[in-house]
Amino acid sequence: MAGLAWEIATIAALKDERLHVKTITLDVAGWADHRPGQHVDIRLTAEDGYQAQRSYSIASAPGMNGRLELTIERVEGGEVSPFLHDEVVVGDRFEVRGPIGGYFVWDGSAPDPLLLVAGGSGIVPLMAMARHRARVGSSAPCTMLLSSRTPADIIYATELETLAASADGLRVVHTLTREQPSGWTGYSRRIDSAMLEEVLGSTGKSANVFVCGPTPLVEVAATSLVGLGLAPSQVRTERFGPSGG
Amino acid sequence: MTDDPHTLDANAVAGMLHEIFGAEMTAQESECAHCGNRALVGTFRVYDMHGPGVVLRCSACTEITLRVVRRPDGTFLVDASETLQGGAEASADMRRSQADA
Repeated sequence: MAGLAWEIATIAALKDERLHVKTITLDVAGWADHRPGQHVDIRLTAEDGYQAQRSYSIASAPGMNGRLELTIERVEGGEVSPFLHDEVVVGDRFEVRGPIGGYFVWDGSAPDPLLLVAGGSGIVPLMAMARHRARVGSSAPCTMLLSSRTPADIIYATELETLAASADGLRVVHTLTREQPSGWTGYSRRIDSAMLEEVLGSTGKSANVFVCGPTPLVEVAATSLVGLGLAPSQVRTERFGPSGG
Repeated sequence: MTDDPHTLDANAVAGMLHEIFGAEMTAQESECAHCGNRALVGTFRVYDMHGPGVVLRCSACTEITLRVVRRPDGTFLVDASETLQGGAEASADMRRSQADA
């Protein structure tokens, strides 16, 4: 893999996941298949030549023959995400390049347990891993620990239920930090060391861990996991700070 | 590790690094010239994503490992003098990229 060329993507479908979160399905001719966890760069060019560029994680599993899905949260005041939410229609085209990244990647061949920790839309690259895991029939036990504000904020809620119900070794643990449904017996606080220790108890300390979310959540999770005895090299992080949009 | 909410991981600039070095860089191992920490480039922390320049720092000692400035004509100025690459070949690649930039 040498250069990284800009290619034309065509929007094949648009789907509302929940308020302010949309999945855009793209067709890219000649697309090199991605690995779960990778992202793409998107470049939009205005009529006057002004360009804006952003990175978005790929949500779909590999193997869709030049088709990929991006799940994008609308960032108020942003340059790119409001356009992708409010303006584009099926058939529109823009430039993408990728797939990008080789660090925050799980390709399904490792038999070690997997712990996927996400805050909010940080679930997107981890969902690519969970979808890939189900698709290839990986026997790696997998726990997802997902932090959301309210039940309505959980992205892919229905699909997560389906994946967890297939009893193939995937467990989904939610923490709802702001609003819980009546009778909620799950976690209702931000991710902390005690929570990670409980979740790790059943996953095992040999786990490969991927953490994606807002910087403060990633800091707490990564520091806690190393404090619980995991090697720093077991814990891979992807922070999304205030730079999005 | 730092606790600065404005830093990201090197994965955030993986596309730019690929553009500069002609290869995926975040899974490459490198050695910090300051503290000797051997780690994957993906563990570097990124500062000033949207300024004219990008600074990457060692996640262990937080010293600068790579400085990149994007010039108005689209080329890059790269200072990798504080990163010791894992292999001679990668070092040569890096020097070549600097010469090209």
